[in-house]
Formats: sequence, structure tokens, C-alpha cells
Amino acid sequence: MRTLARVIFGIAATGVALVGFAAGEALLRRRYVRLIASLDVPQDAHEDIITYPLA
Amino acid sequence: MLRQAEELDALYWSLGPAALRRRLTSRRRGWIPPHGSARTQRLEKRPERVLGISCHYHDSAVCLVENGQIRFAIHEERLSRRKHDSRFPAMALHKALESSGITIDEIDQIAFYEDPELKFDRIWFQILHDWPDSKGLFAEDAPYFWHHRRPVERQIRENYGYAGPITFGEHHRSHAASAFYTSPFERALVVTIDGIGEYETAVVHLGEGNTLRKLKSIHFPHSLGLLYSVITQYLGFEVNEGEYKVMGLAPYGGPIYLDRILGPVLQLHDDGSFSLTPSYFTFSDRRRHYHPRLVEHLGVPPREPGEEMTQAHRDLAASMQKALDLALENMLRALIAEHGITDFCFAGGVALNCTANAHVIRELGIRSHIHPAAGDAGTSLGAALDAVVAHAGGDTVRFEFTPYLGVDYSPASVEQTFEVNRVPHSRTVAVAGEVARRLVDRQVVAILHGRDEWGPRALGARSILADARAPEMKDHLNAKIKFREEFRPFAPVVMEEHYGEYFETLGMDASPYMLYTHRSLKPEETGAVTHTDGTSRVQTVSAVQNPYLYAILDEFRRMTGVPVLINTSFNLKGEPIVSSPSDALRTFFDSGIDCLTVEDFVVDKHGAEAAG
Repeated sequence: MRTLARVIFGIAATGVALVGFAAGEALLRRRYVRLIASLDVPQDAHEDIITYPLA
Repeated sequence: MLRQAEELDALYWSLGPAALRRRLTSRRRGWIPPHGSARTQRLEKRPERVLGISCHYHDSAVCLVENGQIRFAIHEERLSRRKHDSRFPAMALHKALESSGITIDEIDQIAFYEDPELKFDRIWFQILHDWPDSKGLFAEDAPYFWHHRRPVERQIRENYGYAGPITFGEHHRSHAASAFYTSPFERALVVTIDGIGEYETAVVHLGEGNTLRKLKSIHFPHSLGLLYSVITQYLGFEVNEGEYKVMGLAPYGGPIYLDRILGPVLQLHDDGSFSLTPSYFTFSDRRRHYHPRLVEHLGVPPREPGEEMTQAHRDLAASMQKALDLALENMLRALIAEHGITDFCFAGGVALNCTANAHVIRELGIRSHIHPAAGDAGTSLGAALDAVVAHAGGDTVRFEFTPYLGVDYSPASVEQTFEVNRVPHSRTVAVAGEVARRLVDRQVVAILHGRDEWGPRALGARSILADARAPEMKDHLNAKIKFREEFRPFAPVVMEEHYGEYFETLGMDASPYMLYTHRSLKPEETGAVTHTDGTSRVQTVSAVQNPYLYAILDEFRRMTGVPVLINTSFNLKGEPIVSSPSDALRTFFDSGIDCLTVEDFVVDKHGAEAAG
């Protein structure tokens, strides 16, 4: 009985940890996207798209 | 900005636990079944004019499909004159519209070749997976991608004022569509293998009639294309450029390092899938994609660009090529056993490996279709064809395909180019005879005829021709004309009806796109195009396919009895293949080419130099 309880507790703890990690990652990603969206990333002159003359 | 940089740095170092979780849980090896519905969007109304676009990775390109016909396709590099140009294909787009006499408002749908959102998702995955080696990706590449490469829809709408529908496909589905819908097959397995798409590096689709159904795929970091690119870099060549040099180098070595690659580095599984050992690679490091562990394991010192090539390097190239051949064979053998289908379509960068393409035909007896722009440029065609076929009825739709889909230059514009540049020239109705006579005299002749070829190979529209009989012609071309490595072979072009006399046919009636290595049957007559292993990367040509080149070959055959010539791309080292007559003139005068013909105009180098 005690062994079963330990196994169940172990599975539950692992599950909680994984969900926690996933939630943490989602938060980090959200923060990252917001941060890089606010950056002023200059475009290289040679990467400048659609600057060719268009008739 | 400084505060943002500090914040970015702090955020990066807080990724540890998330990165650890990804490393522990995300290593999915082998085949992964498809999940979710196909992402290709289908419009309510059948589009008559679809523009396919691929860009922002490498080899940007545009393709126009109109009323069920492939009307126009070109790589941006041909027009911008920048090799492997990955920028938005503005010049190609302009030419596509101009050639059809339409404006962008008359386009019913623009089909982009992949999903930038999913690609960003993979970049995030890669940042976490490769942490802490992914700092450059995190702080520089990903923000650049977010700002300048992801918002492609907004770019098109803002810069062109296009208000119609813009749809996004999947990278490997676009590859698969380009191969299957131009194939002669009603039912085939479509295998696409490249470095990486969004997440996928190899995908198997089942093509039936007008449908393409994804069966399974292999995900990053397990990638045959990336492994080949890593060895390319290891041997001192540029990634995405030098892979075909590794293929050309391989026959000079023996596969003595095969057991150090197969097994420890690349694992082949019984179900046909493969996996890599990620600890040997640093895919997120922009400078070097291999870990010092790989150097230690292989026991071959990496070669820096320009350094001397040793026998160990040649043996490593041979071992990598052999590993690729065996990986592809293992995959196809398992697929044949599983599905009982022996008709295959191939696409993706790995499908440009002629040696592997021929190997699987020899070993497995399959029928194979590959279209000449099998690399990323071809996905623009695939995205457009997929959008059109999505509206097809019951009858099987296949698209008539020719590789000559680029820009055509009128005789008036050619003559004007010569006159503006004050280049002495003549015009003849017997241009084939004139070219053949010069080739017999061991001159090197460049030709420009009709529309640009679609794909990375010169197929007789923008080619340099020379006599294939003399073995010394190879060294002459490498040293004086193309200025490239001495080990690189040249490809032959042969009249289609004489193909079987001179080369192993691999069971094919024709091999029109230089995509397979065929054993030479008369190497004594084709010394300049027979590689050290006795094979040639053959292009067959018929009177229907390219009457201009066919006539030259026919005249040459009449004079010499040999219907074979050297056909190499009309460019200099590091430059794209020429497109316009003015590109042709510049390349002509910068190299040791003896004669240039543009349609029926002839320019003699010695005459032009004497005059000018």
C-alpha cells in the first residue's frame, strides 16, 4: 500500500513538475517575443527588400 | 537599447530549466506520424493565376501558374546577380508579371512556400534545445527573423498594395507538390529530404491522383541534409554551396571512414528512418556546425578553406557519400516493403545528389522522377501547383513541364546590347554549324538561347560548350574559363537517341536534367566528361526539348561522329548563371571563352579584342 502511494505520488510530482516547466517555458517565450518585438533591429542594406525599381 | 540588451541577456540565462526540459523530453527519433490537418489553405474560388514565392532562407524564386500552365519561373539570383540570393524576389516578381503582361492585382492568389510562424516556433525550440550554445540565435538571428522574415504577408501588402489572398504552405509539402504534380505518375511515394524545413528534415507523402497525403516525417535535429552540410563545412567548403563539390570529390577517395559515420554518428533503423547523435553537432553555432567531439571521433583534421586537400579529406568525402547512398537505400527499401510501390518522386536539396539518385535506381530498380529545381527554389513552384490542384476535379491533373521558364530576350534587344557596348558581332542563319566548327577546332563556345533554365543546372539555354573527346579540355576549362577546383568534373550533353550508346541508361528513356550519374560506356570517346569513377552526370537533349542545342550536337556529330559535348554553366566561380545578353558579354570578356553566340548572333573573342 505504501509502495503504491509512493508510486502515485512520484507520478503526480513528475506531472506537476513537467506542467510547471511547460508553463514556465510558455511565459519565457511570451516575454522573449515581446522583448524582440520591441527591439529596433536594423535591416542590412543588402537585405533591404523591395528596393529594386518596379516598372 | 542597452536596457533591452541587458534584459535579453538576463532572459537568456533564465532559460536553463526550460532548456533542460526540452533536452530531456524532445529528442524524438525515427518516423513521426502526421498530426493535425494539412495546413495548406484552399480558397473558395478556383484561382486562375497563382504566384508562388519562396524566399528568406536561400535561393529565392518566383513561379507563375496561369490557366493550368506553368508560365514563368526564375531564381532571383539570375536577375540580382547575387549567388544564392535569399532576399525577397522583387526582380523575379517584376519579370513574372511583365512576361505575362499583367499587374499584381490580376493575381488571384499568392502562395508562400512555408509557414513562417511554425518556423519561428522551431527557432525557439532550437534555442532551448541547444542552450547555452544558442546565444547568437537567441540574440541576433531570431530577432532578425521576427522583424524582417516572418512578416512576409505584411511586406507584400505594404510594398505591392496586393489585396488578394496570400496563403502559406508547408516547406516539405511544397517540395513534394513540385515533384509529384510534374511527374508522369498517377500514384507514387514522394520522398523529400533536405537540411530543414520548419521542423521536418525528411517527409514521405503518398501521391495519388490529385492528392498528396503525408505519411510520416523525421524532425530536426535528425537531418541527412544537415549532416552532409556539416561534412561540407568540415572539408573547407561553404555550406549550401559546396555540397556538390563534396559529391565531386568523393570518387577520389575510398569510404574508409564509413564505420565511423554509420553507427556512431548516423544511425539507420530497420523501419527506414535515420537519426543523428546530436552531441557531435552544434547546429546553432553560426561559425562551425561540428563539435570538437566529431573531430576527435573522425580522426581527420578539418580543412580550412583554401588549405591543401589531403587523401584523408578525399576519403572522408567518399565515406559521407557512401553513408548518404546507404541511408537513402535503407529508407526506400523499407518504404517499398511497406507500401509495395516502386515509383518515387524526390525533392529537397538531397535530391540534387546525382550519385545517391543513381545508386538507389541501381540497387532497388525503382522508377524515379525529380524536377530540376529540387532545392528550395523549387518550392515556389510546388506552392503554386498545390494551390491550383486543390481545386481540381476528378481527372488527374499533371503539369506539362519544361525547364526553360525564365526570361526571353528579343533579337532587337540583343542587337541593341551589342551596339551599346560596341561589340563587333555577326549574324548567321547557320549558327549550329558555326558553333560546331569552332568546337571541333577545340574552341570554347558560350551560348545564350531562349528562356533561362529553372534550377541550378545549365541545361543548354545559358551554357558553355566544349569538345568532350579531349581529356585535357577539363583542365583547360577549370583553369582558364571557370577558375574552379581541379577535381571538379564536367557534365556531358548527348543527343537523346544516342544516349544508350554512350551511357548507362538506368532504365530511363531520357535523363534531361543532369540529376543522375550514369556509367560511361565509351570513356575513350568522352574523356573530358568521364569522372575518375567512370561515371558522368548526363543531360540528354531532343529536338523538341531544345532545338538550338540539338542542332549544335547534330552538326558536331556529323563532323566528328561523336554526339556528345561538354555542357557547363555559363558563369564564373562564385557568380550565378548569366541571364541577360549584357551578363553574357561581361562573363565572356572576363574569362577565356573563345566565342559567344546569343541566338543567331556570333561574337568572336579575338575579333572583338582586335576591334576594341
